[in-house]
Amino acid sequence: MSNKKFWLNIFFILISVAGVVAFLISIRQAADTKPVPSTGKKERQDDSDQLVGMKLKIPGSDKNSYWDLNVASLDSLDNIGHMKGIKGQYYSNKKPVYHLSAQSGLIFWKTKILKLKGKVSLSTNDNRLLTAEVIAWDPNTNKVTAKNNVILKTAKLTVRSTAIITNLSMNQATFSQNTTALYER
Amino acid sequence: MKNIFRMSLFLIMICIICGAGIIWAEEQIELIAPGGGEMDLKQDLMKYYSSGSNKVQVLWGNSTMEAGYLEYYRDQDILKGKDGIKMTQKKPVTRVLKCVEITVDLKKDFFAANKEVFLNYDENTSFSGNSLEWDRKNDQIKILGKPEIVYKDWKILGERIEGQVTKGVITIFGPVHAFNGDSNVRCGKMIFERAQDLFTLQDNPVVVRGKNEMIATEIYYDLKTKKVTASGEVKTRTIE
Repeated sequence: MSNKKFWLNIFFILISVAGVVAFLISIRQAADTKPVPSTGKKERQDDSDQLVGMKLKIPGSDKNSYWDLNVASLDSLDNIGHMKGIKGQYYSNKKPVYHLSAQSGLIFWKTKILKLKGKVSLSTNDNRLLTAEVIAWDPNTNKVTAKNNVILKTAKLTVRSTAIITNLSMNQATFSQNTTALYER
Repeated sequence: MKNIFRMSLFLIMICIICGAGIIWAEEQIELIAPGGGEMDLKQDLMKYYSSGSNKVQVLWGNSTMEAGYLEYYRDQDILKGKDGIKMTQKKPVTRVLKCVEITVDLKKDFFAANKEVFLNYDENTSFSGNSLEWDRKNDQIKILGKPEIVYKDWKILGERIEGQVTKGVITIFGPVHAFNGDSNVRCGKMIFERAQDLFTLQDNPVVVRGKNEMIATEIYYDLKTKKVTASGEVKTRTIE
């Protein structure tokens, strides 16, 4: 009897776990198929528009790619957006491939250039990580420029430098002066 | 009894942690590039540049190296350096290798140095030439391009030097010319045994000391006692 009760409990646990997983998958698929429209509150202040708690969709370097950013606040003035509390992903063919976070940043609306400051972190799905005080990304050239306390980590390699120019996938990079590389052999 | 056991266990753990730290350090390679560098992860190649007199530095195992320019092929574990190469081995004794170009195979512990090669092997011995190949793992060395050995007060010149430098048996292929303050030696081939302080001279050897000359089939020169012995057909004469 007790054996029967044990297996029944296991069965109910498995059903519950499967249900939670299915729910999460459906949420993620919904997020993939259509971008979430901005839901921030709008407040007018002088000549700038200030928005609080919103999502930004910024075109990428090709037509099938874009940044999907959550920002705590956005202040837009003279074709420049001033952002705070930035976190997001870069989608390519509807799949997230790069991940970004920063304390603050600028978006130049005309050129779509992003300039991020304050503990900026950029990572790839294959565990390459770039951190710096300042990271800028230019979709027109697909170049990423990082400055100040730059650290680039890949498999078994850590590079520290004052500045790096690379691309989003971080498979090629040029380091400025005072570069140190540490390899695990 | 329990306390002794616990103390032993603690000491063993400390030894393991320290050992692991040393092994981890041995398994790392650190490069410092004052002039920056370039990385290509597709080809697994990195390039490093110096800046003025501040050279690129590499640290691995018990060795360090500086160069004007360096490439590291990570998949093959090979370093290629150019311009003002200076490689220093810290253990078991300090040894310094200088040259213009070098290729280091870190896996095989093999060096190929070219142009103006100078190896300061220990306080008594140095090698120089235009090219050097040194297989440290198998203790094999080869020097070409007007190779020279300086050993204590002796200078040995030849056409090619090969041997086991750690074991201390080196063959100099000639024509060979060796000399110090009071002796002059010529032969076709010399076997230099460092541990025994002995020259074995072959292929028409001639030894001249002061005004005395000895020619024989084979001559043995003891560097410690300065005693010269010969075998085979021996001829001696006084030079006027």
